[in-house]
Amino acid sequence: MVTACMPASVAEALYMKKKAGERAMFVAGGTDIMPARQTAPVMIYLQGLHDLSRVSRSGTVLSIGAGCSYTQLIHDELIPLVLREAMQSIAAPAIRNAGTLAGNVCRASPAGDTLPVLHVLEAVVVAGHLADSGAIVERRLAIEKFILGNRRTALRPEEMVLAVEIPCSSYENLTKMQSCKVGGRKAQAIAKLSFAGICRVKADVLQDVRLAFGAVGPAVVRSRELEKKIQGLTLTELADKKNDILNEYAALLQPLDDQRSTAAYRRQVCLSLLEDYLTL
Amino acid sequence: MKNISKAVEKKDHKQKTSGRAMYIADKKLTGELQAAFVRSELPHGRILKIELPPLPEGYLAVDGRDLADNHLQVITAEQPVFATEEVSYIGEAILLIAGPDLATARCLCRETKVTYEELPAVLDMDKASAAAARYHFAKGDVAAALARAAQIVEETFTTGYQEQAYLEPQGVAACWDAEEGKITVYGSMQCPYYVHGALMRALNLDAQHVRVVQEVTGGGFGGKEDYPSLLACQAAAAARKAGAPVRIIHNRREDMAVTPKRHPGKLHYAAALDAQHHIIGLKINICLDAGAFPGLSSVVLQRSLLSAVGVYRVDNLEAEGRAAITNTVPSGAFRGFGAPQSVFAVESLMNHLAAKTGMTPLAFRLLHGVKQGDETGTGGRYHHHVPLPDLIARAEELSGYSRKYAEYARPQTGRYRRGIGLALFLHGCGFTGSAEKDVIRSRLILRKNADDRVEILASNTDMGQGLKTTFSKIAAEALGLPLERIICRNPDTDRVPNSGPTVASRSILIVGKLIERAARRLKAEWVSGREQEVQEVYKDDVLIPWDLEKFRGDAYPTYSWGLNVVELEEDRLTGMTNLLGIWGVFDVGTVIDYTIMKGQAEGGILQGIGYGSMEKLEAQGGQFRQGSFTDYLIPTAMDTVESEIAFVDNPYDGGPFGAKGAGELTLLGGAPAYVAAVEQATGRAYHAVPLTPERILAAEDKGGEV
Repeated sequence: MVTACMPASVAEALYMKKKAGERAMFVAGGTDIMPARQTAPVMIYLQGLHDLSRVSRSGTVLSIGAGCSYTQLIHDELIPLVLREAMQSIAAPAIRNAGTLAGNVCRASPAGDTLPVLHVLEAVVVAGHLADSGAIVERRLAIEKFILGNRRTALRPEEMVLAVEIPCSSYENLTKMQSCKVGGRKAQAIAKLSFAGICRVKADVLQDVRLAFGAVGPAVVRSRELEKKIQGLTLTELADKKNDILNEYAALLQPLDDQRSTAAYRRQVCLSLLEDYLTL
Repeated sequence: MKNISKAVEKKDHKQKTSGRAMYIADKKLTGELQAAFVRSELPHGRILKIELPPLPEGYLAVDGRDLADNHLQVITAEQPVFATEEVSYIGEAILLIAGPDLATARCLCRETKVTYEELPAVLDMDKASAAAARYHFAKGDVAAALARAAQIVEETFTTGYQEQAYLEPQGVAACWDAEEGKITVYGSMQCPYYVHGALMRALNLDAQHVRVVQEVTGGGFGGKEDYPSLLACQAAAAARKAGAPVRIIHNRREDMAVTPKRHPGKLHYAAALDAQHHIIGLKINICLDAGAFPGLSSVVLQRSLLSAVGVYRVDNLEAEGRAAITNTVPSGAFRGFGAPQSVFAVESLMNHLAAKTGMTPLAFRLLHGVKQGDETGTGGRYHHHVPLPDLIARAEELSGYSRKYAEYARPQTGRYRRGIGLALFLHGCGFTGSAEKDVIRSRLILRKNADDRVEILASNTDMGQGLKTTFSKIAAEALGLPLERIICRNPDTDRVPNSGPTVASRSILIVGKLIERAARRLKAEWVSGREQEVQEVYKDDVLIPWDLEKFRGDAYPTYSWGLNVVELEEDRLTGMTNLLGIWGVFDVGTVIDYTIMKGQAEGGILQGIGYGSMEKLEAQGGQFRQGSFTDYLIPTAMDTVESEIAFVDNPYDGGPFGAKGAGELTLLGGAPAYVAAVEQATGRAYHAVPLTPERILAAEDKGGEV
């Protein structure tokens, strides 16, 4: 028996989840669970919740509601271009019309198409639950703290994701933003690997650099440690050290051989894309 | 454009676009049971014990003991309908459980425990000792040619599996009439009389007590040539045992895991060149992976061998081939039927030889192209006009091939490099060898009703290729009647004679000709308002009789010809490609319907490009690694560009209104033209399809070839 619920408000959705706990599953677009034929004793459908479908910018933070579909976001000029481009590479129009950015985050697939970009954008996941008082209590987690591994997140049984926040400083005044999905074909394909890079160059010095790889490990590969090493380099120094940097990233990648691609290809293309990106 | 070539609305257009078409999965039979299978988990093993769970009321298990003869009739009959003592591939059916609820039947199958003794499995065709067929033929003196060659070039090509990827999965429903002692099978299929023959044998019934009805069929591409016979026998055994209708519809995963695919191939060529860069001899060895049972593999191999020299004249030739038996899913029919493997190999060889001799691919081809009157590799003749110069002229005009080839041959810099590739090919029309005359002996009836409408009674099926429309157009044109007065229904063996299977690009050429002849006779005898019937049977017009033992003679009455050009850019960083242009120029004789033929051409070329680029299906330990359309990728609309299609006029008297075979031809050039374009872009030589980005970059890495 499956109980299907259509909450009328975010508070009601959280109330249902609080009651049912791990027995309940939220459905936003459903584009991942449907082909996987996943179900739970209690299915809570979020499609009607307009409170979750807003994009807003307040001060220095861009907030993307958990119910926003890819299509909605692709057409919203508040959204950074690099993220819009990454979403444009997802599946096909029908899936983009239904699927949500928050859903992509919650499903925590190693090959999630938006995840490398969200990492370099320093995205923060806003999770909420209903307190006994009836108030909605929010918890903010950086994306790398939220996604723990393959299909694993830090979301608690009583919680749901309310929004994904992106600090505006992460994407403003940048020199080069790039995202690249390498799939087996140009639509309806699961990524073999993906790459995202963001950097700011001022007076020939790398002020800020953030680099991430998808589908070459249980979760997105991003190293703040390596990024710190690269930051502050002049472009000439960067060119000189490029091989060392590539070698250090190579050591972080854990690509697999599977039905979609080979470990050797994944590794090689990640590094080629990185090398190309760092050619500033 | 000839009158008959003008496009009309397809006979089944409204039914299909409105969603009213009833496929087998839409058909519900009163009191029907659904079935699920217990399948082999081992590539090779002896069945020691089968333990069934207690079956609830209304459920039953069916196995090989429930058939009069547990052998599947294909060409021969080695394959069991249900494995009884031994399993020969993963996924082979051992038994089925039928009952009112499919989920319950599936659950009961999962609870069934089969104990095996594992036997050594042959998973690699190179290591196989058994063969479904072996052939050898020669002309001239290859040994002498190799001895006096200025240069000998040896290359080995490999080709992968290809999945037909029809939209509608396989499915049948069987009903047993106990009073009459008659079985009826409805289903998605290409060849109702193949199913009919298989049922007669398995149930030991005479022809009158077996009825097969084709339902609307959502694509076949060869995949529904032999497999529906197996499914029909399994469903029929269950229906007879249960005394209730039994329906079996595969879901996509089951369909992909157990139904036949295109044969993987390994093709070795040794080419002897003289000092003037002329090919003076070719020695060819082809091995196809037949899978666990012979099935159609002998004939597939024949076509591989007959296509192995492509459109070229080679006076000293030796070719041998075998279809290796391995413990993998039986390979079967797929549009092109053995030819795509060979056409990829020989066309790539021509490109590599051209490069070695410093000639352009086109110039090297022109040096070797066959002409009318030339001898074929098997001592037959190209009796009719060979339109290679016409195809090339038209392709140059449309694609600018030679200009672009010269442009992209100059050094290229940057992330993206461009290339353009060309492939020339032919396809023997109709069945290989003497099967039309000796085995099929097609019979066709035109029945005129009292209302002066004319029905075509034939066993050929419309599986999306538009046969109801093209058949009807031939009849209408020959009778001088409007198309609406012609009736063409899905075949029902109780009503239609055996005009043969819907395979081998034979329907228009062979059966279409029977329709034309019958229609002309009917017109001459026409009496308005009276019921009339005209029957026609196949008449052989092959000039040099085929001898299979000697592998000599005219293997085909005539040939269709084609040329493809593919232009693309390759991304150095990822090995991925962007198609920039696709051109197809074909000689299919008279085009029976321009829109239908254009659809065949566009789809065929893209299916060929898929075969050459992304359609990767790997067997690992006897099991396919790609189990769904998520992992087995076929090109989408986003992966292609609009292709330009043209036809040259070269009518053939032996076909209706001059038409020849068309459906399979269109697939043959996509893979070699694609690979040739990548070769020009990257400056590397490749020897394997699908040429995935993984393979492209691996070749870069090795600084060599794959």
